[in-house]
Amino acid sequence: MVDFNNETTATITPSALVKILILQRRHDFLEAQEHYYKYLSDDVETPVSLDMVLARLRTLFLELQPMLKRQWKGQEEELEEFKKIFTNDSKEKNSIEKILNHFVQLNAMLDAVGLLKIDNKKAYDTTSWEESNNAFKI
Amino acid sequence: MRSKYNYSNGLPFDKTLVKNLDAIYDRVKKQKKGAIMVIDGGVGEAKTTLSVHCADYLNKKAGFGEIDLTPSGCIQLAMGGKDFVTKLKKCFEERLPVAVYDEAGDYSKRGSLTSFNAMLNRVFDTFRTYQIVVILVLPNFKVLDENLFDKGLPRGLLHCYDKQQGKYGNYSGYDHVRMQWIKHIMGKIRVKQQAYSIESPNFRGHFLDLSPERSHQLDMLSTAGKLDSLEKIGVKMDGLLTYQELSIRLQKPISWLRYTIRTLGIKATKKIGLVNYFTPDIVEALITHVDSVKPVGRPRKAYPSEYDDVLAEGG
Repeated sequence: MVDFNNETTATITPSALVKILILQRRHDFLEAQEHYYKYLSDDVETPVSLDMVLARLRTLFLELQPMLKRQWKGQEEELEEFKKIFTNDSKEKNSIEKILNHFVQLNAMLDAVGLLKIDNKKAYDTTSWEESNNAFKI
Repeated sequence: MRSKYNYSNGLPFDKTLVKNLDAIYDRVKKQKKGAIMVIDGGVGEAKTTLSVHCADYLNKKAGFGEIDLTPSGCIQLAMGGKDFVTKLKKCFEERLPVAVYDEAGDYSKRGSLTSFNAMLNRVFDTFRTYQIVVILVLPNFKVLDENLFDKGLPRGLLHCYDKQQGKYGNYSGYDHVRMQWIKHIMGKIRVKQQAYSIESPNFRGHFLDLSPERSHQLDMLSTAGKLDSLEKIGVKMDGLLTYQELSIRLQKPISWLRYTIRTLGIKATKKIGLVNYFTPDIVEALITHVDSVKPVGRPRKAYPSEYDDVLAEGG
């Protein structure tokens, strides 16, 4: 998505680049959990590893960390809790549900800052002239 | 119960149009804002019928009966600009909620187009407090003045098309924004009617015919308006002149013309409504009359010429 070898990338503002990177990381995580469930349902005898899912969540977390510090001010415990899942000691205890819960938290934060909010168009009855006119302030 | 002239909702059109008519009514009556509803479409697409349906509904909503379509009592359906202004005033006096303007051939003339737009602008500038929903019935709403759109007065358009004779008529409803887009598209493409297909409507619907009795009354009214218009066009083709046109040709005031024509005992060749028409020969007669009339007052004394002495001496 973001090509750092391309000269034109330098012309894009850092905030726009970061937005794209975050979305990319988020997409990668979703892909990883999809693979996890796919292999789980394939009924193979080899135990399925959570490593890839966890690694991608970690990347997303690291990408968002400075923002999380600001957004979760006063909720330092939650941030610490978040960090715990990446330490080796607690690795065994991690379950896919726990990882997904953390992802949901991040997702909610991204929605709150407007990165995922696409349903911002005013909803109105399009079969009504007046509602339609009012939506355009006419 | 569905009948030939009503759907199951007891009306000749569907509930979506009811919702929109209610909204326009509330805008005018409750919010005290001006509103124009436009009905347009090709010739014979039952525009006037739909306008009568809408007017009937709004009348009933305000506690009145169906609009009167008899020639003597019809004050809510106007054929032509002058008729509209007179009837709008009457509607206000009787607190009626709706007035319909049907073009009846009047609007297609360039002169009336400008004057009607000017009149409509003035009406809505000064008579917003009338609290009357105005329904304009036109062949094409594009002729409406830009100024009306700037004021946000046309709230919606019903475009009539593809009438199924004896069965039902079709309409598409467009809001103000869509109207503006259609107007814009019409300016860009060769076949203007295609613009209605390019812009998607807010809603579509059918409407049924009027009862035979009312349909006959409406035909009589509509035909009378169109005949009047046709007669006027015929007069123009004959080259007959009105007082206004004579006034412009002779550079004389209309009062002078009326007095002189009466004095000379000239009769009008044709009279339509209150307008007298004269043959073009009258112009010659009037010019001759102007030349023969001596100016009122003391005769002018000619100034002595420098050649007077020479002439007196005989050469």
